[in-house]
Amino acid sequence: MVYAEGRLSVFLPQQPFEVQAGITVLEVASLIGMPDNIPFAATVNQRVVDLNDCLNPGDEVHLFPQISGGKE
Amino acid sequence: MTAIVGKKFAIPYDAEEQRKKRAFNGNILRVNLSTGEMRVEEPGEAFYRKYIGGRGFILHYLLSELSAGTDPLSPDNLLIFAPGVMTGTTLPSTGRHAVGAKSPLTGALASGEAGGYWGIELKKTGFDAIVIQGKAESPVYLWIRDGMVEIRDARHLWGKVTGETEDLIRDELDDEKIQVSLIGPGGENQVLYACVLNNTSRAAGRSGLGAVMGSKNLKAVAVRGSKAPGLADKKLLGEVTKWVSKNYKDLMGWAVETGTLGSVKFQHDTGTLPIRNYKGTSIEGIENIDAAVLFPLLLKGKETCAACPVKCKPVFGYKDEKVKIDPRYGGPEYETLGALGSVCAVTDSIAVAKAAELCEQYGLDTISTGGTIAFTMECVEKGLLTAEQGYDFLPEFGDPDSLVRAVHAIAMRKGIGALMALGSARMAETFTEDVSEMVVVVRGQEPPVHDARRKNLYGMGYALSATGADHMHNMDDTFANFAQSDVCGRLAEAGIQVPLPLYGITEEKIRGFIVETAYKNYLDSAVICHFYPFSFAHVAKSLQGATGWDVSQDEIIEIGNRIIHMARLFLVREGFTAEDDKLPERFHEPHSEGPIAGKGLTKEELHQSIERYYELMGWGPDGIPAESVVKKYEIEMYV
Repeated sequence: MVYAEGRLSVFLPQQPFEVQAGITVLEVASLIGMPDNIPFAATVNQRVVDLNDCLNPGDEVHLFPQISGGKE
Repeated sequence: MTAIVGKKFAIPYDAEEQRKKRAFNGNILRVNLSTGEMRVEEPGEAFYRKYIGGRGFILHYLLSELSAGTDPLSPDNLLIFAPGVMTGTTLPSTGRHAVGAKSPLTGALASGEAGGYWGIELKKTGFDAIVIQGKAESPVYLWIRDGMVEIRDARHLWGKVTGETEDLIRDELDDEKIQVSLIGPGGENQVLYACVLNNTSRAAGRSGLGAVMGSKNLKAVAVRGSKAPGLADKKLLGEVTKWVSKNYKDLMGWAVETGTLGSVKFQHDTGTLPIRNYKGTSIEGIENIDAAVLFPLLLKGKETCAACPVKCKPVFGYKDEKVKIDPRYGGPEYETLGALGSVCAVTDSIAVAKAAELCEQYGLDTISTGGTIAFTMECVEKGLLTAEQGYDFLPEFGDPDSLVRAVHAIAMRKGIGALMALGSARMAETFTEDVSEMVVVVRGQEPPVHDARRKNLYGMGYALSATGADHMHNMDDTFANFAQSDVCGRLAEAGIQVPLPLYGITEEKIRGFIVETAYKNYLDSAVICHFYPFSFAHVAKSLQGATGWDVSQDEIIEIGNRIIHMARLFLVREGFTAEDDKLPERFHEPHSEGPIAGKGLTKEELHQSIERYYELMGWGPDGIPAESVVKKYEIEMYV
């Protein structure tokens, strides 16, 4: 299950969104259509994770916007 | 001081043609407040290219002229106001200047930067920096107008808060466009973390620069100029400006929408925001000190700095029968909301915003103010400070009223405020009990509100910083972990493979840290805002456009690293050793729950990382720059 917080919420569909296990957190962001230059942090099951960590079945992912610039 | 001591310098307008061709004047003003002597130095173009301005200038003067071991609050300390070569150009991000001295809080380097309009106005007077020494017999202020410098009586201003002081100076000089850099009662009373403010809401905040200014009986530096700096190549600089205009809304959307205030809850939810003097893992009502609640409740407008389209600075106002928050003092940033809010376990919107506004009125660094109050609250909670000891009040975790009272008490050094004015490290020394475990400082300074258990590399940066814990000349683990961030963009330009792991400190993270801190020290010297997502190519091109120098990315890194080596030499001569490059105990104690449960950095991991950093920087195991490095960067004269 994926949740996007704050200004990232515009990228989520209205209904709960599920992804396949095995993909990375970064790939989740891409999958929901987030532009690739918006910095974010993520928790999986309420623990902060590396964006390149892979997801397991049943994981709950939250994406949080961060303050910093992206690059071109 | 009864008469006005003044001097008119003709120098700024003698070289009019030269001025039009570059972004600096070539003149540095020297003022001795003990003798009233004033003079101008013209250090030459090579000096500007080597040190750039800001922190580079500050370190040059401290290392050249201040004797090692000087009492920071003695007349001998230097107080340096230094815009940089980029200040006042047409490039957005350059409405900034630096202030520096030896710190009374840490005994190390004090070097802070402030936005607003003061720096550009100083450059328009014909001066690129002011180096102030000595102490006036009674309170004075400096008035600089187009090459004319006066030392004026300020006895009628002493004791006034910052806003009133600014108004009185503008009235007295009959010009509402005068820009004023000043101190409030906090600096006058030499609170060891008092700050220097301009535009009543922008602060060279950290390490006690306001106390140094107060110790010199200097209330303010008022400036008004009419000659904007020139540019060597308008077209070249214009290319970077156009890039900013085209991209800032996309790349800095967070800044345009909410500024740093919009991240408080998210930083809480992702384990960055410290809570209850770094012991807590979550707090009820965190949204009350985030833009989501604060903006609808308090936002009256937004401010910006010279030449900046972003407008990231909130302006808060509020009034009811008990509380008034004056919009002239702007509004709090993320650091302030964390330090005065979650670190003190207070999430009352009005109380935290009022405490922040009072810090602007009195001229106090909000980070150290919050950190010191939180330490005091924990002492109260543990029964180490009690009403029976004669205090009329004591601050308590979660109590909004005592938070606000504590700020008043600190500025006036009244009651418990007399102890809190020392900062938590020195305050701890006054206890008979060992309270060191509760003291969260690095090099004697309270850290910014980014928990080093969450951001391990940041922690290494805290430990190594010559200014005490600092989040500005540092590298954020979060953005190093995101390949499309501006941080990773710069690292890639320097050949570092990105992204970097979120947790831990790897060889590549240390190499990246060296690149990024060189960049940040360049920014703090040039003086450029950290929020803009520039690449090395952007800053090199803009420096070339401003000065005509054919600079490369390598030269930008060289300039930044020179400044880091100079800062290290300053630490060494002031008696700091490798043993001082450490973190407080709490950063080594993982939380048992919450978003960063089990995460942290052991002392051994930190020590090994710092040893490797020394090695890569060309410093010995004792943390002292090797002779070969000193020679390479042409800073032998400071050893």
